[in-house]
Amino acid sequence: MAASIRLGSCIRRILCQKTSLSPLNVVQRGYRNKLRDELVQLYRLREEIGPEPLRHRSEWANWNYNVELFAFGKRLGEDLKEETLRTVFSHKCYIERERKKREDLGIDLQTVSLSLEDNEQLAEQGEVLTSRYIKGYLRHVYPLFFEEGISAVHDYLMSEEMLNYIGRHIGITDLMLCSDFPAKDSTVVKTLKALIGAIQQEKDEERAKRFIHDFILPQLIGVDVNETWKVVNPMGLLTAILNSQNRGLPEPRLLRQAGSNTVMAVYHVGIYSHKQLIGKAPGETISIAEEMAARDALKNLMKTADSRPALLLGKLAEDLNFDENKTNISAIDFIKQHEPKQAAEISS
Amino acid sequence: MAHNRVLQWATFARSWWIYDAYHQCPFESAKRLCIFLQGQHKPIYHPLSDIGDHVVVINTKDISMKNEYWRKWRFHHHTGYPGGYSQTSAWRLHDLDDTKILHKAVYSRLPGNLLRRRMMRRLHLFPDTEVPDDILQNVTDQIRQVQLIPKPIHKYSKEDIDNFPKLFDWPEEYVIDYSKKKKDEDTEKYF
Repeated sequence: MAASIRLGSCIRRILCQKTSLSPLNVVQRGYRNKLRDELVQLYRLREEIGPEPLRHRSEWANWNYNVELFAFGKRLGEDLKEETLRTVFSHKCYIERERKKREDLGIDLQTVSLSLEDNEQLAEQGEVLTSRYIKGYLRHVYPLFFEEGISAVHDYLMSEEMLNYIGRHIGITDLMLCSDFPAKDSTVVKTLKALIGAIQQEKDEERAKRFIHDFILPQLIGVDVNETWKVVNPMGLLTAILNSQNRGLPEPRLLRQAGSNTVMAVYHVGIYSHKQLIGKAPGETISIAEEMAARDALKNLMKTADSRPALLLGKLAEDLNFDENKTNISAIDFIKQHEPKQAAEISS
Repeated sequence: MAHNRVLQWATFARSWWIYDAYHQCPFESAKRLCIFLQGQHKPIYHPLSDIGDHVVVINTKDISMKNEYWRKWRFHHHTGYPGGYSQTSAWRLHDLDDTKILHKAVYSRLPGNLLRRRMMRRLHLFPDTEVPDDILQNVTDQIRQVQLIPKPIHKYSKEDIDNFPKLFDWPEEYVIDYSKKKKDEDTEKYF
């Protein structure tokens, strides 16, 4: 019994030795004196060559464009046809490049067609719809905000920077078929517009509007809409508004002040109309405070003050019906129409 | 179009307060002044941020102390050299400098960190009501006094004193005010 155990352990030891002797597990001992030199050499080589060039995802392993395209549609929750999605991502520059490539290779384009459509028309369609819907929505949410302000917020949402930000975050960069790499911002923006256009064309307009509502309009959360519109003469606009409502002309009054002899002076000015406080603001000097108080009063009158209700987004906006053709009043026209008579004489 | 920048300016602006130390306890006053000097009355208060206000104190020569404190309260000082210790009674220190007691009371009440000296520089002490104009123009508001000022008997009119309800009349020979004591010829001749 004892002998058999000993024999077994011996065999095991031999087996273990055998496995540890495999060339992969050889442990090096001692100092690697040349290690530093090797690393320095590698470093210098890298400096000479420069950084690794950026490569498109398709140049790496495990890339299947059809699968990615299918996954993209599912990710967004829009069941678009594969051909439509392919059109959304095909840019004109890409198709031209492909055609030229085939010509150079001597392939006859009429016998072997490219069967690709570019997204120019879809992008145009998407842009028109997005622009129209955003403006309509803003006018519905801020009915007293002047048209210039609506345009400013619209431009903010439709800016290349903003649409590029949205486009890159829903992952359309890798799927784009375009000649420029790394992808230009304008190409990403065009693709996003084309996507909206495609939803409108294949599904319906409502579906495309839901897309705009879920992806573009939420970017307004946390944004002060008053910041986007730069008013040059707030007091003039305020005077016109009060004049149109037959209220008393704005009368600035110093409410309180502190440290007037110091560099950190602060003045609080309130704007009164018919003995009613309609806006107040602090400022470093009385004139700055007066201008800021006028801005505050404007915010209150246009109902875009900080205490305004939250934007209608998500489920709240499901049954939103508004007239997209209705426009708000333009500030310039309004001033011309309602400027007090004395001021009009002075300005003329 | 917004005015968010100036809202920030107003949040961090320092306001100026005035405090009348007439007939006020310096230690109780210090407790209240320190709140304003540190900015503890502001919603943005944090012990490490320097957001305290300025406080102008007038009439420091007229502070009051309870019980025997003028005589018995002692202020200590050590020069740092051997034998450099000295102590002074409150009345003597007040005699030497009539803003010093309030200064020391506030200084010892403030937390002993690096902000203490800076906060003390925002405390402006004046022995009487004569405050330079450039300081007085900065002032926005006043700080409520810590105790009611007692009204001395000589401030009451004769009518008020006569109308005050009495339980009994003092006998005529009972002397309340020695200065108004009638001279008695019978006793005068013995002096």
